[in-house]
Amino acid sequence: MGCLVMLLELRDVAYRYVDGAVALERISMTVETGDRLAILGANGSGKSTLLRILNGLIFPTSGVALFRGQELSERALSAPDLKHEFRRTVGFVFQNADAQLFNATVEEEIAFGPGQLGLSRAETHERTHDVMRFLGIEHLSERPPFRLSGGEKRKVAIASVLSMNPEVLIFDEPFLGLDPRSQAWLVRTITQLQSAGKTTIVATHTLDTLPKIADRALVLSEAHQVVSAGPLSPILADENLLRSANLVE
Amino acid sequence: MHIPDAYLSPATEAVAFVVMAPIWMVAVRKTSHSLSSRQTPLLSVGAAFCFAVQMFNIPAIGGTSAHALGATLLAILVGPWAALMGISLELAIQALLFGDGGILSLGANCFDMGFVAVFVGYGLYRLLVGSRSGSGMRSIVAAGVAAYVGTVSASFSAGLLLGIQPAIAHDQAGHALYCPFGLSVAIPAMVITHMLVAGPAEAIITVAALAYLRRTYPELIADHAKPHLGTGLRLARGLAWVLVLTPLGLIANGSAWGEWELTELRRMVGYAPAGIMQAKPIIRPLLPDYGFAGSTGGFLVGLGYLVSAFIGCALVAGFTRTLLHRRTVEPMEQSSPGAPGGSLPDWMVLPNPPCTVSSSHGGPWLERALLRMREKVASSIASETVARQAGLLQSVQPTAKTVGFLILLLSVAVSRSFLVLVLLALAILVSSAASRVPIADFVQRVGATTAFFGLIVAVPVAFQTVSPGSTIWSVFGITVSVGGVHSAALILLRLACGIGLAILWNLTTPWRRLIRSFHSLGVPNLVLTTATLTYRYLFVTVETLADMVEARTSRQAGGLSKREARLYAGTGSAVLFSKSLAFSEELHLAMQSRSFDSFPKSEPSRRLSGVDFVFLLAAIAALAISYGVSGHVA
Ligand SMILES: Nc1ncnc2c1ncn2[C@@H]1O[C@H](COP(=O)(O)OP(=O)(O)OP(=O)(O)O)[C@@H](O)[C@H]1O
Ligand SMILES: [Mg+2]
Repeated sequence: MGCLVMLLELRDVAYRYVDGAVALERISMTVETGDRLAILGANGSGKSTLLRILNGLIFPTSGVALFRGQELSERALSAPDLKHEFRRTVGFVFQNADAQLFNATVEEEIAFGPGQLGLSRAETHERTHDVMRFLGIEHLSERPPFRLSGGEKRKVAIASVLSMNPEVLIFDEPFLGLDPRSQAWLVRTITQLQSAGKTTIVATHTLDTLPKIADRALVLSEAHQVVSAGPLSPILADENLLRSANLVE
Repeated sequence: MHIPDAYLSPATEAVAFVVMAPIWMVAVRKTSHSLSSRQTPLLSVGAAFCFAVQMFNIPAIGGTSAHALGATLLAILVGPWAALMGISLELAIQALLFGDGGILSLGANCFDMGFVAVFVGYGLYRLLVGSRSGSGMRSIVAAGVAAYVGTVSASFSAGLLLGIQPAIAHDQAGHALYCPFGLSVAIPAMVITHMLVAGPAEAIITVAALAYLRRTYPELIADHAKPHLGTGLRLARGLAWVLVLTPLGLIANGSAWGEWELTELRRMVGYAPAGIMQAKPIIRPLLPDYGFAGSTGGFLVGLGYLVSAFIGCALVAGFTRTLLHRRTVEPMEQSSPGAPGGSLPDWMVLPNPPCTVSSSHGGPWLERALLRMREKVASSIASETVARQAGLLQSVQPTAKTVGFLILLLSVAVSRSFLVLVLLALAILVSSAASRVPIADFVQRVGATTAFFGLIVAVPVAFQTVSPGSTIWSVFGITVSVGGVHSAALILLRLACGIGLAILWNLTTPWRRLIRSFHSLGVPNLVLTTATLTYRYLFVTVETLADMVEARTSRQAGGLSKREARLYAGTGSAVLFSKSLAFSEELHLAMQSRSFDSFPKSEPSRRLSGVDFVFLLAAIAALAISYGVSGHVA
């Protein structure tokens, strides 16, 4: 095998938005197959930006992002082969569920991903209905996604990614707006997916559920830099660290 | 279809304003009667949506661009008069804030894309639907046809305005001063690109949006599709009939615009548009399917149009079928909310089966166009910060500034002298520096917009195809003439000055002040409130669109086939409309809960002082010099 090729890797990445706002500074990190990673940080520390880079939606202002050793850049992702491999491997549930929904009905929304994988019509249909049943949203199938309640939208957004069955699942604040029963269900689902061998990356402020869904964490400071990375439990035990990152009062 | 200032003679622009003035007045009166408060956000979202739709354009020979309009859709949703107002406002925002389409040519642009497109489209729609209520499938198909015809008619009208320019505005040597293409080039260039590209796009957008809104916002369609507008309706129907009969007339007569022009116009104005004869063989091959026109007789010309129309309609019909076919799926019976849970489905535990990569491409131009649009909107946000700084032009009182800039624009439009234009350009640069505008960005913005609108016209002018004159050099049978280069440079320079003025004006004036200056110049409050809402919703619409593209990118593994791309454009725009509507309804509620009623709040403007008079005098001097030097006065 020679040297180990990481699933996802960032090397010295910085990101600035067009209006000049700094969102990330000197970030290096790696993700291996089977990782259960949590991204922690206060509001505005750059979690969502980091995840969007990991999903190849935006590209580093400096530094590189790698997927299985290949650079993720606008150019590289316009090549059909890499694009296809990357998009079917990495799925991303946005922080803003509203922004993630672009299809005419809930059913079309969920069927979009499987359609992209070249599955047959019947398989796509089966997957779509499996997922809707799994999330308890079958009754919404004909509704337009943007005329749903906040929590319903989030469930549809999660369903639309689950139906692609990606190997890497990135969740940005997935518990936002879910009722307690649905939150518990989502925690259970994430652990089930992990035991099926999926890699998960979760950005969240909900510290209490964290130990169930992650064993490694990366903490971003308000200066948009990594202040700590490593096993979860020592990080959660380090009061000073959490306070300096504004994660606890 | 946005005509920039440099392509129309001031006389044409003035006539267009004179024609539009009463139409706008009627529109304001009708709208203030019929616009319920819930409809104001709808109209503004509609206008913002039209803005987004129009940004996806391709350059068209003849000097402007081809794109869908959204006019018929808006007219069906809010009625023709309100739609006319919405589109006029949206065009004004484009001209004032983004330099798309001229400020002085706003009247002409509103005539084509507002009046003609709305009333032909809506009239034909009502004609086809008859007196039934407007929610059946038949009415949706009718809307598609009407939208297609409405767009093509608007392009015809634009082509007509452009095409008469060489005949009415040229210097003694016969060099064109404004649009250099005669009717025989301008009309087919505009009409055929719209028949083949923009018209089908418009129809697809209209059909998809209506079919979708019928399900997501049934109350919208039910409310406004009833025939309830007396005069508007009669006017619209009349126009639609004229239009339906025109192609028949063309064929029956054995004459068409191309042929009609040379002989008739020469007699009418005593001038054969310079170089039009030579233009034909060169310009022709550049146009797809243009080979039809100008062949032996008017019959063939008419046939050319009909064939293009047929292809366009076939595209639309094909899409409508796909759309309707997809919609015939029986809705599932509504079950009650289920509980989430159970074990993972089997396929989720296993890796995905391997599959082949679909090799189809397409779609990236959409993303590029979107990027352009976002940059523009972002730069408009950035311009508000410049506008709030202290600086030379920022200190001029808004009303004086509005009047002054209009005079300056006029002086650019009438000028025929190189020297005067160069001096004006320098003055623009100096005053932007004095207003602390970032010069590099400014020059780049002006340059890019000028190039987009200008090169496609200037290049053929420089070659001796449309301008007579002594030859500079000649290769491969293409000649470059002194007169041609002179004309081309003049047109480009005038274009750049006009765009530069518009952008400078925008950069140094915050939106609120601009609105207040129009208020003190007598523009009704309803219009300004709607304009301001439209301006707000513009950002919402563009951001919503950007989100949708990003969400799609995140899950899009394969490419897009042609059919998928059409479906994407259709359903995408329908969803965009509904999404921004849903969002702006909330925004409107939020504004109301903070007790919003109208813009602008009656806040007195500063009284005129020294700097304002200096600015106005400078503008008047520029106009006088430009007019005098240009040989208008012997
Ligand atoms: N579209 C944007 N344009 C400009 N700046 C942005 C944009 N999105 C985010 N930012 C800025 O980038 C920084 C990082 O934002 P990001 O959304 O990544 O934070 P976050 O850690 O996800 O915060 P939260 O916990 O609130 O979700 C912030 O300072 C934010 O203001
Ligand atoms: Mg975030």
